[in-house]
Amino acid sequence: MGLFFSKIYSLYNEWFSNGPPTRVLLLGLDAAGKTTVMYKLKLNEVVTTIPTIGFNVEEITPVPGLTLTVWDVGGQEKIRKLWRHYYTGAEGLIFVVDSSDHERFQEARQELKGILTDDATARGIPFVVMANKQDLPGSVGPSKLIDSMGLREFRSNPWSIQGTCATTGDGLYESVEALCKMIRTYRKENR
Amino acid sequence: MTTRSQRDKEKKQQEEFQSILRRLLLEEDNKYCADCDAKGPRWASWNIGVFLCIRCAGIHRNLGVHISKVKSVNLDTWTEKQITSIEGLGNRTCRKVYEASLPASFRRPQTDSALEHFIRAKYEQKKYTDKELEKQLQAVSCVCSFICLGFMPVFSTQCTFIKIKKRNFLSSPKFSPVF
Repeated sequence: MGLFFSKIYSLYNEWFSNGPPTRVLLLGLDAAGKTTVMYKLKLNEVVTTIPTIGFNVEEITPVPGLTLTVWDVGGQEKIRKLWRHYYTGAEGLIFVVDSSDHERFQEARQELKGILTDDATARGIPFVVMANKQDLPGSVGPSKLIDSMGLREFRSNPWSIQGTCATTGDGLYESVEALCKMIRTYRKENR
Repeated sequence: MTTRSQRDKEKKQQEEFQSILRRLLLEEDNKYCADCDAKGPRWASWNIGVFLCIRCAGIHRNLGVHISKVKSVNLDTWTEKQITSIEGLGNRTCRKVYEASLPASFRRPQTDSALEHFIRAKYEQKKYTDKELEKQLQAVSCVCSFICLGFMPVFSTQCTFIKIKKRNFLSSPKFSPVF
């Protein structure tokens, strides 16, 4: 009987109460749209952004029962070195890619690989790739981006990809929901 | 893996690019943002060839990379191609091209939304552009990128002679008759 109640209690905890917020990183090359994504999720508004020097941090609750602390860190080349100071304790990663910037897909891949293989990053954390700026001419869809960035080679982490448009909000919730699901599984496995 | 000598070479080249950018920023027209006239721009759109303030850089990024490719002067590393492009253009030239039919009495907008409207009109719809000048400019930049590609192998053997020749070529009157 006690077991039954504790099961119900843990289920309740899992779905309805907001436990300690989950630390999630929002990274990507400069001008990928990280800040726009974050404030669209937080405020459902398109804010006028300037290039992020430093970081923004916000708490968002995309699905009941899971509060995310999202860290959006500036993506200019010389300040990417600072990313690693945010890795510790992160349970998920949102990697934003400008899908119309073909010339820099390889650069994006290198950076993603760098994050996942860094010593400070927890092994096997889930990540979601946002193929952002789907509204722009010349943008590639998610399946093409998987090939261009060689995402299939990332076998040691659970991942998913979603085409998004941060200015309209298309695909944002879908990708965050997918990440939340993966984080739940990841937590269970690492308990 | 990159060897130490390669890294040193890269570092040296980056220092050289930074000094070129510093020199460019000392030119009178480059001391102010190309779009809003704010003082001391630290950002640039290398394909358009203008120096910008951080606010206008943010708006330029909204246009998409098919129109404007934004870089920070200090926080990004630059490539030969990008330096060649911005060196050959600059705020003075670009104003002549993209603001050719802008009335002299025009007052530059200061609010965010009005500024975005102006920047989109200027570079996306090309409302004030001198089409003839723009064509010539494209031809020049085409030649420049060709030279850049062609000289790259020689360039990397650190043949300073050709480097000097190339820089002179860009500013030679023969190839910039309109500016």
